[in-house]
Amino acid sequence: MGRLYGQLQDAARASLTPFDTMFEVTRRCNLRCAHCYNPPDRTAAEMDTAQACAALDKIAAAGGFMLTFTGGEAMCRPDFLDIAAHARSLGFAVTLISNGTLITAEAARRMAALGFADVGVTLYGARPGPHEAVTRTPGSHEKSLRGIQNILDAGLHATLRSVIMKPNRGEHEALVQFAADRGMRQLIDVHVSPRQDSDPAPVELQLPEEDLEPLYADPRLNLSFAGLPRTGPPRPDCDAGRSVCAVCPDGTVYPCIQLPVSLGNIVQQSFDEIWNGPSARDLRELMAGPLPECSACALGGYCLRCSGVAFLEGRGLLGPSPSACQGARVIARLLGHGHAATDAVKS
Amino acid sequence: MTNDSLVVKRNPQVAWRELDGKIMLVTPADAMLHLLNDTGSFLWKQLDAPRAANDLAAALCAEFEVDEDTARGDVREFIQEILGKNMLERA
Repeated sequence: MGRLYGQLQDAARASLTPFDTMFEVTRRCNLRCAHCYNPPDRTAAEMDTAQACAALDKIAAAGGFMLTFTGGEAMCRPDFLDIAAHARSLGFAVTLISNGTLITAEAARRMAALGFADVGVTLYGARPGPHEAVTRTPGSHEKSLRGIQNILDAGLHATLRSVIMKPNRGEHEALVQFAADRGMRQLIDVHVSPRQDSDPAPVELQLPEEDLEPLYADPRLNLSFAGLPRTGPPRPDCDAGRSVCAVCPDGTVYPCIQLPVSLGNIVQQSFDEIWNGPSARDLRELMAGPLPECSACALGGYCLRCSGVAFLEGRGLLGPSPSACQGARVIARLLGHGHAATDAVKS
Repeated sequence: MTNDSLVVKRNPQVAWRELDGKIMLVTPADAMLHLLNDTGSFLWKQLDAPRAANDLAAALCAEFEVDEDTARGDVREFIQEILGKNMLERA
């Protein structure tokens, strides 16, 4: 959505409007993806249908507009499409992120009738082998492909979402072709975050730095670093807790899906109590300051640091993020500014 | 060319919200985000029920200091543009 999306985010951020919300309806999932950021315990408490709809009422009243349903696998909830229908009745622009395996032709037609803005399906390989090396679920590739076809047949706008890691190394070429052949938008990532309980296990799956460079350099993957290098040091403040929020299955509100710090619970509190409460205010104040360890970094201009990822990586909200340091080294080298700068950061 | 008696309504599949007085919309066919200008935002807000182009022009005259011809022209342009983007439907 590009530049206009950024402009609206900026306007929403200035007025503390929760413009963009990630809404986890469940932690249940029928796949066992090796890199999943959710903790392996899938039994987290869930809002019931009425509570989830009431939560959406509160976010809509606060000005929420972009709404991404995720999980777990949202389609594991039999009432998911009822919740989504309620969201659409409130005027939200609804997107779903799904593994696609449970999206039947009938479900896809209902999503289309509701006016879903986009359905994103995670696919880790154009072939079963690489895909199921990530999902660790035999037969999941075929089911995801069927779901994708149902989505396309229903006329929905579809996005192919992939992460390239060690188990599916090299599969990006085939995935680019897969998306192009079907007229799908494509999002490819190469960075893996620790789990939300800070378990670093998924990070072991990330490709080594030398393998990231050709992926960053490939324009088809759109791992964009346009606008870099920036001038001035990196800053911690972002849209989290300002124009972005996330809701967990039990109603806990986070400032961002990547920043699992509770601001309150939307079942028990009004949105205003959460959004303008002490935790949210403290977070904004903390994130308005400088980054003590990063301010003097020679790679600051190339850094795409995320405070939430830094937090999950165990370096604190204001600490350096090893994955961002790695990305900055790669980008600096690709922009031909590598050697002097890369000596400065060896995390 | 848009007829002044044409009656239009919002496409119910379009997601929209007001932010700082302006209307932002997402069209599901292409997942594109759009932002209406002040005039477009005003006209969109008038469309809480199907309205004829003539009525929209009258509302525009009443709200802004514009003559009738200018208002009709603005409404025609608005309808033509956003009908083309499937944000509106013929009622």
